[in-house]
Amino acid sequence: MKPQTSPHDLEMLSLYLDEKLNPTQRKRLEERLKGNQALSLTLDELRHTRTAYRNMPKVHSPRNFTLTQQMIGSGIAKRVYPAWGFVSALAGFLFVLILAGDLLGIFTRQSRTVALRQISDSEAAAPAAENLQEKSVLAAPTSTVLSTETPSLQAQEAFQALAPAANEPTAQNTQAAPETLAKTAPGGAETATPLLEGMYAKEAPSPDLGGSDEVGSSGVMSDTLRTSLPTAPAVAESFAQSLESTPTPTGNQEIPAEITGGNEKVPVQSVEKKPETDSWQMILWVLEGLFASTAIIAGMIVFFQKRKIAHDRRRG
Amino acid sequence: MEEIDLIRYAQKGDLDAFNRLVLMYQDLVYNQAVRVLGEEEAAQDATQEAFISTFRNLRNYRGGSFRAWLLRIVTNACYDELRRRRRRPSTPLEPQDEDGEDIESPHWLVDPGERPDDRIERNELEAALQHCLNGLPLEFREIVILVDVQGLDYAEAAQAAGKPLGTIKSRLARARDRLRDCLKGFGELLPLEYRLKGEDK
Repeated sequence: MKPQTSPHDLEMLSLYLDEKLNPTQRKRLEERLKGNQALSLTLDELRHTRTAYRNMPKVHSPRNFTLTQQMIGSGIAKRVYPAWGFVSALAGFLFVLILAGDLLGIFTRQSRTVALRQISDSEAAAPAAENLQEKSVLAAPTSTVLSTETPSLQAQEAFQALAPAANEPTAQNTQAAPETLAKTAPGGAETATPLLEGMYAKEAPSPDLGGSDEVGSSGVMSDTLRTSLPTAPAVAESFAQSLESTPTPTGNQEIPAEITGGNEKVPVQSVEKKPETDSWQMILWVLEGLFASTAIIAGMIVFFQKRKIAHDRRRG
Repeated sequence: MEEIDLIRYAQKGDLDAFNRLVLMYQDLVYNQAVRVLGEEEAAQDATQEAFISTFRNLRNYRGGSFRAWLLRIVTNACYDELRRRRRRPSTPLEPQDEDGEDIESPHWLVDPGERPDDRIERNELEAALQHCLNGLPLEFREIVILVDVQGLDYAEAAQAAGKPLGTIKSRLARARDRLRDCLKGFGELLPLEYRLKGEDK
């Protein structure tokens, strides 16, 4: 009866016969062989089998197999279609290009999405900033109007640009800020100008403008400064221009009634976001399609040509 | 001229150089074909096909054991032959004498210096060994012929079979195990030194 030997043991025995075991494995196996009769018998049988096949008579070739020119035809097979090698390389290159293009597209879309999300987040945060500005900075309705009309980042920046202007009380700054505020606030120009006068007088005690510390602290503006201050409508005009140049994704908006005092609804013209026809993206897609179809066709041609060559060779 | 020089010349299209390589290796290649196919006529075709294919594809030879590379080509030619035979099975024509009787062994296998008893014994043993080889699955047969019959080491056998070393080891062990089982059925045919332990009692 054939002794049951596991495949692992069989492999170890076979390697042992060919002296392919390392010293540790050999020693372990030899120890096992001493105590395991069945394993020892299997080893003997395998050794005899191996010996039988090693001594199997070598068959000599009945004739010479030397080749003649007729047999080989045109000689060593040159690359029958060297162009196909180039086509294969081209197909591979195009494939890589397509993959790279796809990856690039994904990254571009992702970055665009992130940018849009940031914009929308900042827009969402704008009302909060508006409330803060309403309560703490300016109590006058003109300031409310100003802050509610800045839904986008650019508009907010434009608004913030007014603050440093106020902190640097040169003649130019004092001209620009009140005008902007005055025009933005219909009917509020009269209130804006004194307010700004007070602010500028407080924060801009420049001797060049004829102001002094005393004047600044008392809130009374000197004549020189007063004449150099621009009017509120001019300030509002410049701010409106900055708003017009800023597209808002929220469509047409109306200024709330509490801002306008319920007198009128002033529609704020905002640029509607049109679906962006990315012509580059279209070109990329078309190119991708062309490349992919070229690669597939080239691959198929090479495959069928090689099959045909192999078939012809087999048929001799 | 060294083997490597002959290969280099043959790679440039020198047919004479290649034919010298053929003469060097034809016994080895034919032996491999006979053992894989178990049939001399088909083995001759496979050997010739293998040499033609070798010459045509010599540019693809990138160094290493040329013997192993040749054996791989002839083994593939044998596989092609076996596939062809499977598609179109045919009855081989046995060689016949003048009276139309089948000849047991073709004349080219007869060694005139051999005694009849020895020849019979040798033929029986060889037939038994070949019978067991033929019973192996192709992938096992290939490995055991490369290692045990042709005497290649494991690394060369791995190159010739185009398989990893681990596969060679495991397949060889399983092939030997199957051959061991098969040869038990031929115990009385095997000479004393080949008989398995316990059978000669």
